Amino acid sequence: MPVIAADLTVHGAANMPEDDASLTGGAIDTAVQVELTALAANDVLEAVSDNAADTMNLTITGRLASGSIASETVALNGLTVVQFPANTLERVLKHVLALVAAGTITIRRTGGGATVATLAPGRSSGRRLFYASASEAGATTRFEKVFKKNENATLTLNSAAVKLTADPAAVIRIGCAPTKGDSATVANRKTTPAGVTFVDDGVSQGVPTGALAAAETIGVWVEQALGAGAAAIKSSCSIELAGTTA
Amino acid sequence: MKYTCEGRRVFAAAVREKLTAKIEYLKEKGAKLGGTDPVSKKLEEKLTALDKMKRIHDENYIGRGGCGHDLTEQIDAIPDDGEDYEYECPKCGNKGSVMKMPEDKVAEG
Repeated sequence: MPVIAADLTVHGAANMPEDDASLTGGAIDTAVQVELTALAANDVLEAVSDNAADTMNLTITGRLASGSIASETVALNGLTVVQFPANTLERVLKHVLALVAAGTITIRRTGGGATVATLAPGRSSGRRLFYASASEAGATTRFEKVFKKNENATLTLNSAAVKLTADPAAVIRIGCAPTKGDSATVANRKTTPAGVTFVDDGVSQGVPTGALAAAETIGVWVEQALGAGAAAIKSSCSIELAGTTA
Repeated sequence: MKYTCEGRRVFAAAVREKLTAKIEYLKEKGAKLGGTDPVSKKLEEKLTALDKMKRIHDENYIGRGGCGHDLTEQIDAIPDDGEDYEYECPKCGNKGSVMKMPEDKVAEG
């Protein structure tokens, strides 16, 4: 049985800032998810678990059509769908559980609509990179760190490489951490991480040593470059870890 | 670290043009044979699928062409000084940007 796509997971870092002053990066935080699907239209949300034990509070934070940020906290009700009626969101910024999920929690558009995010068992939050970041009078560059992990129990991913597979707004470059499983931080998200080579979507970058053994992780720094006074964007990026199995 | 070229950007217009030409060719070929060519039907389905995609604008970029050239030597030669540099793949001509930060330095924005 080779390493399959589902074995290669993405996780957040210990420090994922919500401003330009806080510590950024650090070690992997497997409770944090960084996968979100954009809302096709502004909407209110609902959430449901596939495990009756999930009755903890869930807080969903997002942007309203006006641009302001709003949050709403609702207690989950296990297998019964709960609504988050207070805010019609233009985008979700983060969703945070009071406790780690026992089952898989699905956050979706109201009325059983499109899924925005799922929180797998053991996860406690999901978030968007570059939370509440905006362009400034001059060009602005910010950095955040995510991790890719080989979750296969025994097999090594050979010729392991990461690449940026989608960047519709053309504002992203990525760079592997200089060592696997690292915990490097930067003072804030406007500080460039040391020893990292950032490349655009035209290049795939091999992970250090060229292989990712079972349970090994690689930090991937993500650079967001906004032009001076750039207009607001609602976009995403996709980062792929790929390789071969011996 | 190893760096590999992913190839030049492929735009919707180029894919559409290529598929349309193939469809026309195979339709003609099929007509000469007195029937509908199954390959051209498949290509037509592909074209329809492409058009259904949201990225229907001709200038929209829908992926990379695939190249596989090893750019390690070229990117390793770029100075690690926090400045932006351009690379160009000698095989496919793909161009892009690279920025390298030295191990012992950090730059604040």
